[in-house]
Amino acid sequence: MSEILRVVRLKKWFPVQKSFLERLLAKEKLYVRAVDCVDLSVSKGETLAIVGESGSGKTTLGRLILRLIDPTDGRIYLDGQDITNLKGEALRKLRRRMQIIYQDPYASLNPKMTIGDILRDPLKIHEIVSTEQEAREVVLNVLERIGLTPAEEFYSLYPRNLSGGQRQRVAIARAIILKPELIVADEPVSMIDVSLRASILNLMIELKKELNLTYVFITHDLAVAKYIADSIAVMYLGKIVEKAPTEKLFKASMHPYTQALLSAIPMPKPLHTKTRKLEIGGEIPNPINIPSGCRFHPRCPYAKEKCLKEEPQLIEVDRDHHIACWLVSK
Amino acid sequence: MSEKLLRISSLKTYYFSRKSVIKAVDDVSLEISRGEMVGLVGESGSGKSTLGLSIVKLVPPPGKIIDGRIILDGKDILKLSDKELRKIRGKRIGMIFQDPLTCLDPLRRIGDQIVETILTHLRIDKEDAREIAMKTLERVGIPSDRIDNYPHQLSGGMRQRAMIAMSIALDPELLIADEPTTALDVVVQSRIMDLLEDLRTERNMSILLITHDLALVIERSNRVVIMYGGKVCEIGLVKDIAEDPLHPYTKLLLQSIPDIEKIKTELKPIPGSPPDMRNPPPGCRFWPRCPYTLERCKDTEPNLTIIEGRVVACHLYRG
Repeated sequence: MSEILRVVRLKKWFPVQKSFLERLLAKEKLYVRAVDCVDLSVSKGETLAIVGESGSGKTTLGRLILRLIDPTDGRIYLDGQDITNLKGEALRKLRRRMQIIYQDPYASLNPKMTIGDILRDPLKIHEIVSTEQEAREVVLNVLERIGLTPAEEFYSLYPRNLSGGQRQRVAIARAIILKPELIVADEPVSMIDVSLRASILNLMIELKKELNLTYVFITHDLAVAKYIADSIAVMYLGKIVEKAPTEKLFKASMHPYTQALLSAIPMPKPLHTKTRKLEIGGEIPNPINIPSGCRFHPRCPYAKEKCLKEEPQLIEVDRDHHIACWLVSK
Repeated sequence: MSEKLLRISSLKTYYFSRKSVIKAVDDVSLEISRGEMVGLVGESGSGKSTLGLSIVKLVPPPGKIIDGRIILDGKDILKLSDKELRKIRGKRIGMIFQDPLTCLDPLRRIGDQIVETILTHLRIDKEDAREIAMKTLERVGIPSDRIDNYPHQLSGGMRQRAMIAMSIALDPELLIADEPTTALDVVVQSRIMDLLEDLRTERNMSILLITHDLALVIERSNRVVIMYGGKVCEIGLVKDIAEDPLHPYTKLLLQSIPDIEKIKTELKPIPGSPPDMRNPPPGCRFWPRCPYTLERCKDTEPNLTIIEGRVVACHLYRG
């Protein structure tokens, strides 16, 4: 399979705002290192899930890929073309090829626009249709496809008339209406009721096959990632700590952080009291003061001398299985 | 564990608007024993949160408790005066809500907020109250030197812990936790649930865990109550619900949970969407989405009945 997206040593450091006095006195600038040197490659038609806790930098990474924010350093390639520094008209044209689905369907749809207008806007902006009539037809077809029927009726409704699940369908429709190649889905089901999650995920899987899409699927839920993704990258404090094909990650995960994430998933069977699920303590540290050595060492139950001093690199330990941990690499 | 702490019988809480009546909680009965964690599961709009608010008589207008009884330790809460109610809220019944940011006062230090709760109920001096607040914060895993932090200085997980600290500072007998971990990620969720589990076993606290996450409830609670469209459709021990669910809705809910232990199985979403509560379907409220609908489901409402020790409201299980 050919590669559609490549990210090379990508960094996003947000400067920390300080008071004037502090700026005068401070010797060095402080940064929130949200994304700190990430390498990724996604093949055409693949679904890559990026998994991590809140604060791991996964959303920032998604926004960097889409060029919604500018990276501090590093390169982004789409289909072999370097898109890191595209501007103006070229960037506008690029937008058509990459779309996003946001987490909160209550915030991502304009409450003053009808569903029809929301979906017609991208068509107009990118001049895909020439007449109103044509636009209407395209929109009705998409509404039909994503299961909001009768489409004629939904066309003139407002977001407030729709349930959370239906709104997220509209957000998906808006993402696919331009027939993009790549979609970044940022926690698309985490605000949706468990009972409706499955139907949204199934819809996304069907659309991917039909339209030959590639997904970068951002989630904190490994169970969801397992269902939808071909491969999974686990992020911690701005870095990828483990990356593997989905099956392999679940069968043979090696990074202690991945294992902790796995054990934290609620399973539909009773837990015996007094068994502790988690071995890791504490919370994700402040990304301004990143721990020395391996970033995970303060929470890691297996941390050794070396982990405190040297930072492990992401290396391939098995076919397509990459991991950054001193326990595994020598 | 057989001693009943809370007994809700035939509770009806309705919301009134000019055009319609929403029967958010419609004839619901349930019991909670001392030291028991009961999981109340339902979709958005199933009435589970309204039920939680009804227990402390905090249903916001235009909602009103129309009928029923809520007996806490022999006393009917619905018959108490406001003054008597205030003595119970926070003292005997604690509450945790989903979003700690909207429940904590952003302009006051968390310690002060906990101290205020304590001083409302106990006649002790401020230093002692602060002492209790510190101990409680440590109990929930917040270092006591954080007592003078403002909510915005804490992470999401810590804020939720601060909320829990505030509601358990006075050792309530019943804790109502309404989606306590929904806004948090799985790692923090797991730790908050460990904390609730400890409170239950060590202090014999009863916990009503309200959530839409059936997997979480099955994993952590003793009994499960499934609500749909304002009604209870099944009540059972966790083991029964997980291994042999009776109500079609429970079955479908279980099938819609991604299971990481199984190799790729297709998730089966529940067809249709939740009922419009202004105009619920006649008969059983689940029938438009149910794969086993019988003729009588469409006009006759099933009652909760006991079948071989199991409690379910479904026509499929009647003779």
